[in-house]
Amino acid sequence: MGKAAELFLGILTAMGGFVEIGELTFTLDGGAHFGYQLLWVTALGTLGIMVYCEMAGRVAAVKRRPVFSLIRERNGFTAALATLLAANIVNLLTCTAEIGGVALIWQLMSGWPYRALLVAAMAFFLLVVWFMPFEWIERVFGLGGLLMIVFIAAVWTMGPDWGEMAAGFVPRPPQVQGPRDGLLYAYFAVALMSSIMLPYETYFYASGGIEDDWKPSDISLNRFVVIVGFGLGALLSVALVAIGAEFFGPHRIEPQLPGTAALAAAAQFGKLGLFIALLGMFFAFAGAAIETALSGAYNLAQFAGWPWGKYKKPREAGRFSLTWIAAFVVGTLVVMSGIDPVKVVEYSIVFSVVVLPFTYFPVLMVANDRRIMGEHANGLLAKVLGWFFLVAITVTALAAIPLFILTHGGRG
Amino acid sequence: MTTRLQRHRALREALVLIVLLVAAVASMVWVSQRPAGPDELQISVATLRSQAAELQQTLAASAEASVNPRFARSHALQLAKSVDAARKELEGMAVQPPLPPVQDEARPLAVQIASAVHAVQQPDGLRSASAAAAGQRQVANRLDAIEATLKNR
Repeated sequence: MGKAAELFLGILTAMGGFVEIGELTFTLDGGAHFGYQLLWVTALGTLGIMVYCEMAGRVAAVKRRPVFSLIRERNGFTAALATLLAANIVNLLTCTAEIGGVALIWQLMSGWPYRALLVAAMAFFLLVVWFMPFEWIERVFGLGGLLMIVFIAAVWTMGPDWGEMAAGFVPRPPQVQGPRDGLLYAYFAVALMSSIMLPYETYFYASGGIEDDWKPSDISLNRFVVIVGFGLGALLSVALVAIGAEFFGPHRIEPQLPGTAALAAAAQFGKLGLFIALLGMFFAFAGAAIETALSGAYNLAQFAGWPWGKYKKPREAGRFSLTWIAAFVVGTLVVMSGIDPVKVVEYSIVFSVVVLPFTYFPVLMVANDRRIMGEHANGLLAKVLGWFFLVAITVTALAAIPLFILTHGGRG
Repeated sequence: MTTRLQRHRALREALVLIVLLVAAVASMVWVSQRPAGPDELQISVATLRSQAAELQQTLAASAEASVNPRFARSHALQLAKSVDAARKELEGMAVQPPLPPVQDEARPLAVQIASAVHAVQQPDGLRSASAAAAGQRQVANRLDAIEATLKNR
């Protein structure tokens, strides 16, 4: 494939894979509660994930070292083990929520029983990851997720207040009704930041770079894909905030289910809009389910020094393959037990915030280190942004649990 | 070979992580076990208000044929689980200090939403429910008023 085609597909894949069930529910709900006031968090979180995925991708291209190998080297065995456990709990929670989300979407499309669809979803994921090459998984689900562009089109036809939307990108004291609302605003800011900067994205992105056999010559491609692909992906998040503000807020609906999001597309484009929205959400959630299951397997294998990678035959990387199979099976069993996948999303987002600094600190340290990275070490801009976001996510991590308690789990 | 200093540092970091995780789990359990107050009642009412508005929106979309009946029924089925959970939460809520007039007003509305969302699953239920979609808007509006009263206490 030519470089240009590779670049184009990489950008589209990054864009289509940007949104998952946690981000969908928090952006819509945040928009419904606070209008455009949280848009600056979306922009900030997007810049943060760009900065750290670019660094992790660059380290993968230069040293062929994935994130968890760095975490173990930099943090030491015990702390790395604790990070591994926390990261993989978050991965499993997110994977569980995505599997539940896929079954909910299939139920909306078919009307079939939810539990039967959960089993079907598990079988679907096992078959897809077993048989599909890595590149195909990335492309099919990333490109399929692009169908969520229907939400951008829906916002366009709603005729939003563009001035108010633009003002939302500027951080300022929130206009809220009392201190309780202020706390809820802070909780949504934290949750939105976390849902955009979910740690699995960095694990998967760096491991994917190694799977795709990136070399130092691919650093520019990495940078371009991250900036343009994630930047365009953020447009989807912005559109979801706008739908929350323009559609659900005035109707006094706080969206919690994937079907609720689809109602907004149906209101603008009828049955066709509904179908495209459901299909887009299916690809986005399914892509995230696969990425989280694989991320868990990457993390464990890289930590333990096992052979890993989708490019290897499952028998050649047996323990790696068993780990992602276990993630799908356990995730399915958790939602089969009757636990609401949307509740699982909330917990996964709060846990993720706590894991974020421990994931990103070693990446920053290695990317800063000239002895390791040579001429490809972080420049001044990357260093400044890297430290800024490390401080920001540490503050976010410290605030997450108190805010969760004070806002009754983000309910008010 | 790891040095004593490295081992101590690793142990310290591991302890910090474990403390953070235990704090996260403990706080979630604490949140779910706390006795209810007016704030919790307001949250419960707000949840029901949102669900009533969502049901009305779904039924109206079905009546306008902008969603197909299969979607409307399945979405109502998914919504029913959340409505039942919210209704049970309100039923079992022992608010301190007690707010009987507010709870007494909210409880029948919760039952009304639950009945409507379950009625959609009955044969021909979607058509009759869609015809009565405006009723859910009234329920949502009444819950909205209760929510405002609780907020302004």
